[in-house]
Amino acid sequence: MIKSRLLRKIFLIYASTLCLVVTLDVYFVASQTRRVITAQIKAELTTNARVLLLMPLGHLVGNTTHLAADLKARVTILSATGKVLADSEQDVRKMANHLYRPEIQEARLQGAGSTVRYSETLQREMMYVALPVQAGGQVIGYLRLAKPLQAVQNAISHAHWMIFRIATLILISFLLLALFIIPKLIAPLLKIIAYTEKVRQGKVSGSLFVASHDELGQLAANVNLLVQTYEDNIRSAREEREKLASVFAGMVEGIVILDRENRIELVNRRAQDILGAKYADVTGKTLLETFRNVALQDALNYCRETGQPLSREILLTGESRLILDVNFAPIENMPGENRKIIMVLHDVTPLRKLERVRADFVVNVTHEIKTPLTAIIGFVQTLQEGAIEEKATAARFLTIISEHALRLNRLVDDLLTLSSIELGEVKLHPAKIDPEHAVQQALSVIEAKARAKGLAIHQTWPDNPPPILADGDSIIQIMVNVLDNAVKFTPAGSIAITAAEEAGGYLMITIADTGVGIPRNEIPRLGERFYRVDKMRSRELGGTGLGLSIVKHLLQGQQGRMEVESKPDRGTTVKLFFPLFPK
Amino acid sequence: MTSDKPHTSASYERELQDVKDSLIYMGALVEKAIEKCILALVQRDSDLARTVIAEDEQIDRLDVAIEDNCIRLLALRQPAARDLRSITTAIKINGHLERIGDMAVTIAEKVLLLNETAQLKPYIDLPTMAAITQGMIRESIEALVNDNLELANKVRRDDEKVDNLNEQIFRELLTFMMEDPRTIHRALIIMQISKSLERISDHAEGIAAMVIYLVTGKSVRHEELLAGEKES
Repeated sequence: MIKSRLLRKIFLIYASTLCLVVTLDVYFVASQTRRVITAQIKAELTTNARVLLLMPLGHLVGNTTHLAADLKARVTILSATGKVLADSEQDVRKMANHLYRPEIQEARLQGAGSTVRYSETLQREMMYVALPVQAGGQVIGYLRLAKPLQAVQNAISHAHWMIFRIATLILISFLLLALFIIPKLIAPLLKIIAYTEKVRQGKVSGSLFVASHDELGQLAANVNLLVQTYEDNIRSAREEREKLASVFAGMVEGIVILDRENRIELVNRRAQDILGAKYADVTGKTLLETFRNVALQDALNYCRETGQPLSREILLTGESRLILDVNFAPIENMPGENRKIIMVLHDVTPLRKLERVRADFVVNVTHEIKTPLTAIIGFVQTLQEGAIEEKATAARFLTIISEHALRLNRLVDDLLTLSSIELGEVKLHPAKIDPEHAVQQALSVIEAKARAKGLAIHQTWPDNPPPILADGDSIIQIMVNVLDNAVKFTPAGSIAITAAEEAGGYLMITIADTGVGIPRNEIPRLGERFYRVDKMRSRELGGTGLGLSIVKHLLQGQQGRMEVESKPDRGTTVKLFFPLFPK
Repeated sequence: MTSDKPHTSASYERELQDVKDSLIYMGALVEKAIEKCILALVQRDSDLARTVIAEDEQIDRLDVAIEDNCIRLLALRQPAARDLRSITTAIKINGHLERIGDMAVTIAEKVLLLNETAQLKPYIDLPTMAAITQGMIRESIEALVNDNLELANKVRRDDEKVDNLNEQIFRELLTFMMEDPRTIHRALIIMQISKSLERISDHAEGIAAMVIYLVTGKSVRHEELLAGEKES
């Protein structure tokens, strides 16, 4: 019936208060009424009795019935011994001696007596008042008046009835109040409740409006302020989080966060890129389960035990070798011994590879220079020791010395070219170049060598090959180096040169030989300085080990590229891509 | 080795994970030991062989620690169902790993002996066999980590390859010995190395069988024996 719980509570409190008041009323009104009315009846009866005593006893005895009717009370006359002489209500002969009734005794001893008791004769509660009848200082009998207390009961009942009616009236009026007025009072409260509920669900729309200036209006104003603050906080927290997330995701370093139990909690995008697909779904696994790497686990344990950050270079083996520089650090501001640990990963694989290439380079360049120098020194010494006298021998030695010196010169030239390309000192001037013409120029350098080995050179050119954008000198050097390699490593057979336009705006010049070929796993290393597939043979053939390295760098300098396909003993195909001259 | 349902006690959960982690750690140690002793064999590197022998102590210590830990768990936690399986299999896998570690030491000792004399022949089958064996250890541990039945079965299949290679090496060495009795000493040492590798692969197969038992609750060891009993 009453929906609002608050309303129901208020109603219950009022109702129970009302009940209490009514109960107390009933009790007090009843006792008060009884007392007052009893006293009234007693006074009335006493007065009446005193008046009656003015009459002679004999007269009284004869007229009890009349008197009783006039006074609306029972009239009893007793002798001094207590014998009933006359009674207005009952047959005297049937009545017992009344001397020991309390009111008579009281009258006998104190001159007046009264009592309220239940009358056996009349079967109702009565008020008895007795006075002694005196004649000449002697008690000659007693006059007793009695009246039923019916009036008291009636008065009490009446009062109760009144109270009940008033209480009912109050109850009804309060019910009406509860139903019609209080809902209006608490309507703003309901509004606030509905609004805060919406806020809680995140569906904030506008602010709350309560048009009252009392406490509820104040509450509404406070709620508005709270919601405002709350919204601001959420917005700034969200902004902060997004900022952090984007920083986290965009970091150059790989980040892995481990929880207290060494389980991986978070992996950022960079770390995922470094680790690769094999470690795609590692969140929730322990570090050991994920990497199964003793060194990594030892480093983590050390970091946990000491609480100190540390850095380790870790080699991850598996399908691909990864060298990682891993920094372990406990996350600060976290209580307890088992704090979360942040791992910062750097992929140092390319760096280490580069270091190895550099170290190799130093070893190689020393070796390359040392070999001809040793030969030169050896032969010069032999000449000094007397060989110079023998003309034929001396001439042969000088030829060998010259050959080695030339080779040394070539090597130094190549090295200089390479380093100046790398340093950007060789200024490339890309211009419109006719590829066919450039290739013919390069061939003129090579032709004699090829003819000497008996190699045939086939050329297939499209009609009007498109011009390319390249540096005139460098394209000839590129072609010479590649063709020279082809001639060197083809003991017999032919070299085929073809050209074709490629997608993406390139002209592809293909040089295919029928030579010794290159094993598959060596192909990626072509272009490294001093990298030789077959070290002995290459040096025999007079290579410096820098040819393809120069080609690679020159091509890179003008947006070209090189691809190599090869099969051992079947031949090698080098594809050179040059950008087309824009039309 | 985590159960399907989370345990009421977080520390129990933690202890089970600790057992698993220490097994993985031991697996990684053992794998590294095998890798090193094969490298020592192929590159004739006595120093590397000596580090393998020295590092076995760590494996032995870990073996004792894991077993103690497992027994303590059995006594204190009174595990049932999968937890019971995971602890008992941990004990057995631990045993296998420890034996593999010992085999690595055996190989390293033989390598030291071999390096005192000239190389008998370039090794071709032995590194292949070692690579397969090492892969089996890695894969059996990986199967344990990820409950990967497929990988466990692959390990069991690979065992046959290693057995075949072992026989092949045996036959080849036999011809060497028959041709030239001076090679007998070296050939016998190589044979022992080959045999050790073959035993390592058997242990890896044992680990894989334990993983299958752990995941499915079915024992796949000595299948041929049980199948024979059924038929008769």
